[in-house]
Amino acid sequence: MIQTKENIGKLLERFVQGLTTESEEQLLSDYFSTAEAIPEEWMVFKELFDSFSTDVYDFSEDEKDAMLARVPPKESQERNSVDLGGGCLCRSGHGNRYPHDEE
Amino acid sequence: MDIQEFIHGVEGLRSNLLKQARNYLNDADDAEDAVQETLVKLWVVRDRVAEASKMRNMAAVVCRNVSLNMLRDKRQTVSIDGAWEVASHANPEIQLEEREGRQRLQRNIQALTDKQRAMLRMRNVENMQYADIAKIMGTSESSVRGMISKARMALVQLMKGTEL
Repeated sequence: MIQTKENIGKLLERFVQGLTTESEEQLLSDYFSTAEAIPEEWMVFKELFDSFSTDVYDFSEDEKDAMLARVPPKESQERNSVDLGGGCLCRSGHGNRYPHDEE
Repeated sequence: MDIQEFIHGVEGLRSNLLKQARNYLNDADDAEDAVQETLVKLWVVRDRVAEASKMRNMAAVVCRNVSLNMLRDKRQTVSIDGAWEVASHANPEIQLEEREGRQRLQRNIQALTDKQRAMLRMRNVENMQYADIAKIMGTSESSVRGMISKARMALVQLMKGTEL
């Protein structure tokens, strides 16, 4: 479906306001991946929609490790000498103490 | 683990997480934020959840880290106050510098909070419904839309930014 510039402009406005439906967002995505002449002022949105089909939003394994680190950065060193090198939970065995258990 | 399995898995965890976050944060709103961030992050690391029974412990660990981080850096979100103006007010001076391309994009995305980045990812990369994101976070769809709106505005501002 060919979209008018006016229509896309309205959808973009609602998109940044978080008001678009899932299918309207798909429509925008389709527009930016196929339209030939995208107005200069919308190039930032082309970049944005293009970015959704890349892996730039992915969290690295290191970032995931940090989310799951039983010993959070700083402070923990002196407080809890247990299992400093343990890393993430996924690799932990049995018998580890979780903060939850300490309460 | 699909969305429904995940939602089922975290269903019973919320009230405990809230208690835990309150112990650290002493403020009901901050604690609610921490729990939402915890659930979003738990979604991000769901591939590490070997079995559903481990979810509870993992959630507690993530929640503690989130709470401690919140305590530590009094939040440094990207300021976007009233900065958003729609294309009708296009600025011809703002131009994309294509050559920086991906690196710049990556920097901008990393300038978002983890929660913002994860939520943008859920909606437009993983193509999840707003309603499902709300279920995962244990909040309303309109609240999710509000947060995603802020994240989009912040990212667009960053992408338009000339200071980089």
